[in-house]
Amino acid sequence: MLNAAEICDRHRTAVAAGFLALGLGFTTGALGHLIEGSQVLQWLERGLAGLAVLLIVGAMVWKSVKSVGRGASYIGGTGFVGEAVTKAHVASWASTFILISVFKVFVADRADLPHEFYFDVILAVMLLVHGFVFFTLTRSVQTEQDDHA
Amino acid sequence: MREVQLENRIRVYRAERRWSQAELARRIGVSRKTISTIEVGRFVPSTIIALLIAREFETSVEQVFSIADPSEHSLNPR
Repeated sequence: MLNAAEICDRHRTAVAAGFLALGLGFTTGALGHLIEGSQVLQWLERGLAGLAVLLIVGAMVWKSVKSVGRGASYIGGTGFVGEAVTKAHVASWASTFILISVFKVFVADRADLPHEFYFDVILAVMLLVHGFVFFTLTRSVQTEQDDHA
Repeated sequence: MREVQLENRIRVYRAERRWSQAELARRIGVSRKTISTIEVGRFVPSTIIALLIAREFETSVEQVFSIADPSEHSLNPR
């Protein structure tokens, strides 16, 4: 039976996976601006967006259902996965800031690509960096076995 | 500049009580992954978690956690 902290960790992992799917969706959206008329990219973008919604909303619902009637205490975001989320947020913010700064300096005056392209790229980088950092930090923990002392 | 390494005896205390990582996690309200990563030194616990672990083992925080080779991390080098 999962304790409250395990439920929260799994919820965070599912949300991070949803962010990653959303980031891939924005990536395909950005590619769609470069390769116009691609039906594959359009369907891929919609599919990834749908997957992201499923993961994020599904995680929220699952957490709410699992949390009903539980009286056990839970120590906020001070665990390993909580710290991984924080580090992912920091990396995501930093990369987004750098990218926006680069766009502002080098592409602000360009008119060959629509504004939506740059928004897609920024959102894609923000979410992909978040997902990459989070799953890199937590990936190697998956295979550790509990020793029943 | 060297990173301070935190050592712990959580596995020893768990073994004395025949507790699994999951059991200890359940007792103090964290996930098993948190306990696992603390034990192998991948994660530095918060003060609250450290105090709760020590309380469960009925000992002090200093008995459970220690800084590796304290002389290397003195604020006043000799």
